[in-house]
Amino acid sequence: MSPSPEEKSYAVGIDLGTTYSCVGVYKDGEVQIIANDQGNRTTLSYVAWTEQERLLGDAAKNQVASNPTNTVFDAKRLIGRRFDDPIVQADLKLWPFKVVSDGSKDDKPLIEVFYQGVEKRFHPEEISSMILTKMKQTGEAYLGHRVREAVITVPAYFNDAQRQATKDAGEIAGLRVLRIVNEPTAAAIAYGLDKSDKSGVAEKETHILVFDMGGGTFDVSVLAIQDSVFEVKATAGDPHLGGEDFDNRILSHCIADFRRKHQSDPTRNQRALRRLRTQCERAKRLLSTQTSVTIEVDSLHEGNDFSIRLSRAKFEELCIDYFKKAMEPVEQCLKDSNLPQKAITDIVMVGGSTRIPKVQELIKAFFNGKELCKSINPDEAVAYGAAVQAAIVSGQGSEDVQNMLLLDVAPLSLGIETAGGMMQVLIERNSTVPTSKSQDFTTFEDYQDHVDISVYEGERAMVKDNNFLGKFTLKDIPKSLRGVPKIQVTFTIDTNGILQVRAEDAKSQKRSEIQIANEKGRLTQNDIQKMLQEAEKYKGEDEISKGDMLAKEELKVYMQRFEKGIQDLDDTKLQREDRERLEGKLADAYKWLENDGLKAGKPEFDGKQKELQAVMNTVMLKINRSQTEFWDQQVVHHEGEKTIDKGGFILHCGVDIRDLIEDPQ
Amino acid sequence: HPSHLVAWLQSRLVTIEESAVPVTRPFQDHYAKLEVAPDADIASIRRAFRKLALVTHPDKPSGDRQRFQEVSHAYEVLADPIQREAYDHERLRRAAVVEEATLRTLKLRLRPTREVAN
Repeated sequence: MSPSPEEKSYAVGIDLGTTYSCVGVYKDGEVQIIANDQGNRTTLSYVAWTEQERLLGDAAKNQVASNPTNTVFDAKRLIGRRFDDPIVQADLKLWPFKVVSDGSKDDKPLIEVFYQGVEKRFHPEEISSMILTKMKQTGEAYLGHRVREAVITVPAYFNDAQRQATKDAGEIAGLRVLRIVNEPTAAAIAYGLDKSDKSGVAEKETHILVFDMGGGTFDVSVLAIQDSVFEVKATAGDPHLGGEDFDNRILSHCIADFRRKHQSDPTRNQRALRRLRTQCERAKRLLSTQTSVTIEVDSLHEGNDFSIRLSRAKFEELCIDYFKKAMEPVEQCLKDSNLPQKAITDIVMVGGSTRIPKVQELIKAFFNGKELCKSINPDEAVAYGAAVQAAIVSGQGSEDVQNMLLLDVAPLSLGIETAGGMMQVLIERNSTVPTSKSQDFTTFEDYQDHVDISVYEGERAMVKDNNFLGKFTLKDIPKSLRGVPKIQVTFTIDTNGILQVRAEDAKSQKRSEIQIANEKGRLTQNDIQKMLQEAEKYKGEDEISKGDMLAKEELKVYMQRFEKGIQDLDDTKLQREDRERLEGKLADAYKWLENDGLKAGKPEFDGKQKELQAVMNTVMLKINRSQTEFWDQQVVHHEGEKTIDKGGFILHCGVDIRDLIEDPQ
Repeated sequence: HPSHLVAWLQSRLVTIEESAVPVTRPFQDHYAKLEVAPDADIASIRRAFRKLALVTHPDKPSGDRQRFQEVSHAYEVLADPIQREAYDHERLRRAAVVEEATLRTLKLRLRPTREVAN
């Protein structure tokens, strides 16, 4: 029954967060949240390019202060948006990395970095795909199998374009995206399983509210749970509200303070900003458990140290408008679900920002002092639920899981523009997906032979106030008087919340259809294929460059020893011409390393090292000293040196220097 | 003149038949779709929907998107008291209208035959 280990493959659940990502898998009847190579159960959503290599996750953030312009984060705040989006324009000012427009009519944003001396531009989808690749590798390392399929989560309030773009990112990472799942819905599964473990499956219908506030996005969902069916009743939120906004407020506060104290402005100093931001984030976290904290950065800008005391009360004052703004979707969501406050049996808190005492206090007050449910891990709940959903959809997992069902909704109303710029809604917000709705329309003028169909999402009456998704034309309608033709427009939303629109003229049977996001700056299938190949290449490049780096380091170590060796040999032993020859060789090697060495690979580095060894060996033989003696002597000189400490490079003479250091004669 | 009368009647017939089109369009019986009685309370409607969703949702091996959408649409209408009332009203009215329209069409179809015969 069970497939052989070779063909066994798992579908994972990935929480692709603004600041952190997390991966889980359903295995042997339970969910495992998988730790990355650093031992962390969440991975920073960071990608960095150094002079030598690309870094992913925690490694990328660790070097951010020294390389701020080539360290990319927050791709989730760009994905599925246009460059001229006011939100993008506002975020731009706070990012140390550069974002430019692609210059096309779609006005897609591109992230610009320098890698190995060359300017490179990436779509936000590509950055997200790199993070997904990292999560995929984390899964593979744990499972010992390839991971080909995944469920990826998005904020419930993500629109059509953002969902599509996230799905594309998965494809670029070489994953078959089984499903795009809403984050609060995934968290609800984690909650539901946790509850049913403790009290048996509830026969009775219960209603929960999930409050999900993470690093960059904020969602609220109300769900009904009965038997093992999770039905989303309503969802609301803000796709741009989260911990990073609070960090920014603290940062602005600190900058103002620094300016006052030192009469100098650090805002152009990216390195200073980055260092200060890291401390602000740390302070914010600490203020969830302590009432005041000191933010300190030595030599922040122009040699000035910075230090400020921040109380919890001050932090709350700085962010209170955000906290209050977060209560609006709660109210909206309750209203949309037609439930009274007291019908909510549990309030489930998810996402790192729900640790903030003031946020907890406000929501508690909103529900008249009701205790909040904190039994599930706020950082891992979404990935946990995604892993369960992956098991449900891929048909893996135990019977319990197979009997579960998730009924999700579309977060925004969808419709088309009719005469006078009015929005005619076809699919109401909070409709259970998948869904399909049709409506008949007719022509506005006599003998009109085509109609333009403009598709929008949003809740306002006029289309100009809503979000434009795309436009298409139905041509060659048989000419007749106005009002006579019957044009049927059908909207279909699939289980991922992605929209497809079809128009059909009843008489001529002429059809026209679009997958909406294609029209709105979405990557084409061609683009995706290209990026997929690029990503594959990159993956290879990453592996190659790791080998390259190692070879380069080995060569450097050898060269240092070579240099010492020459110095240590006095003139009685080493003839002048030999010394000059050796020194010349070494100088050549250094020069080579500076120039050609920048783009050289392992074979070149190895070759160079052999070349040096050969020269050294001939000289050594000539002055009649045994090689081993030479090496022993060198090791003593280099004992405790950083490169050797870290190293363990097996040198080509066949002696492992680690052995010599650990066991000195 | 009789031929004028025939022409007039035929044009009338066409108009009436055309206007009768929407009446004969199939009408969804949401209660039948959810396998509940027309007087079922909201709790049993919810339960029925969830039971059927477990079978028809495309995520399930037995899933069928078309069927799920029909079930889901029926639930959407019946779970909302306002929509349900309107639907119940329409359901009764349609039943009556369909009957009446059928009769009327029959009558009109018969009449011209008689006129021509005269």
